[in-house]
Amino acid sequence: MRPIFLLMFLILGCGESPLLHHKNEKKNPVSGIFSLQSVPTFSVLKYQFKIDWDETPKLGGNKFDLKMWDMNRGSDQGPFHDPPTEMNIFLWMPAMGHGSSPVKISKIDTGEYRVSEIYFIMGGTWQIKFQLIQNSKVIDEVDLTYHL
Amino acid sequence: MKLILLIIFSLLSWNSFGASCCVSNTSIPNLMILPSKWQQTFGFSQARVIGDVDVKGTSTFRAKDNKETTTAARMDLAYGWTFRYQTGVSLKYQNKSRQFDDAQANNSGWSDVGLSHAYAPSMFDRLWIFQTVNIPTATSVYDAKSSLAVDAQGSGTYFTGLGFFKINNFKEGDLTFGGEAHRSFGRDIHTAQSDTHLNSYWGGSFSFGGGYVPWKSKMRLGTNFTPRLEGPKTGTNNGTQIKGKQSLVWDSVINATYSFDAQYAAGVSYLDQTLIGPVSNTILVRSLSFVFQSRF
Repeated sequence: MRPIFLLMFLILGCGESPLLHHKNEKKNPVSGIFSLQSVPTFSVLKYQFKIDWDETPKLGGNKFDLKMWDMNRGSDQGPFHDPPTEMNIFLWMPAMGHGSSPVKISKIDTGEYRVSEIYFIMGGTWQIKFQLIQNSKVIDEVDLTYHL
Repeated sequence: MKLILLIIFSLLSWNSFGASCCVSNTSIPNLMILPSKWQQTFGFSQARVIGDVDVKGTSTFRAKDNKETTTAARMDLAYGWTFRYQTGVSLKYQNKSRQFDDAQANNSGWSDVGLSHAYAPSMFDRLWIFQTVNIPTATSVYDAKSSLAVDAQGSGTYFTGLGFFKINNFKEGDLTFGGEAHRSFGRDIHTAQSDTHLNSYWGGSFSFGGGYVPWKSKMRLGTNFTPRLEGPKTGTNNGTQIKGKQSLVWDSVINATYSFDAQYAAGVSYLDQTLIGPVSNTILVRSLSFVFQSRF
């Protein structure tokens, strides 16, 4: 049995074994932008928006309210405006090169949206991509990054 | 004794089920080690994701209420056209279940179809050279529609692998070696929300292991270790550049197989991706699988 234990010791010692060197997932371990210090801006079309999470972003299901305004006519206190083009929101994991299932965007009022079914399916760095699309082309994009 | 050993080793190239989102599970196909016309291998497995690893190699083990399991039934058919040349097909039906404290979803469906062929050159003893092909017939994470992406049952891309598998026997034991390099081909994937173009990328794995036949029985106890490397995924997503990072994970497997006779064999296998590092940019899986094989 001694050679087997020696072999296992050597193998485990070769690299950093995840079993011996890991941390445990904590509740709401997110870092990144969740209370926005600066206002996300679509620089080409001069629109801004703010988001209010129902709770701190976490693995699993998430929801937020989005309010958008034309920088020339509104502010974060209103009035709010619909984007001048089609809006697309989706999740993306840059390091993995893949995303998650589609989010659900429901219009509440002019310039006000409820975004739900935001599923961060695994731990790591995620981006929420906000895109304004015209004629099937992305003409403006804002990415918010979260570390879960 | 040699024939008995050969019968016992019939399940040697059988793969353990290491479901992973990040590193393809392509490796050695279920080769027909014994000279037969047909071989059927039926497997049943349950895999659970234990943790996530970031690009720096930091592992985070998931909390109890963050469950991701895949239960799979798999069938591999191999046909020997000649003594040295064989072809095979692999089909897998699986159920993926994802659960958080406030959300849960599950989905059942067919995974990708795998094809393979292998040749045993006459100048080498018990060495097979093989090629595998993955056909992305299943939904992948790039076009998943269900909550929590549980309908992502496949890899999303065509890929082909080229490799070898070698067995060295000695008395009551054996050493096995295998390696493969695979190429994933570029693909355009369109959904209502996104247009994704994936560029082609390389990956590879190398497997080494050994086994022991105790008490001159019909049972073999074995182990093998397989580092798997997957190249970075690049491409575009809705006009934005994808610049993924490479992934690395190690499979550690222990298994026990029993050969009833020359026609029938069964086995059980435990796979653990948390034991050996370094690892990076991947998920870590543990799985338990059972397999039954018949040939004629």
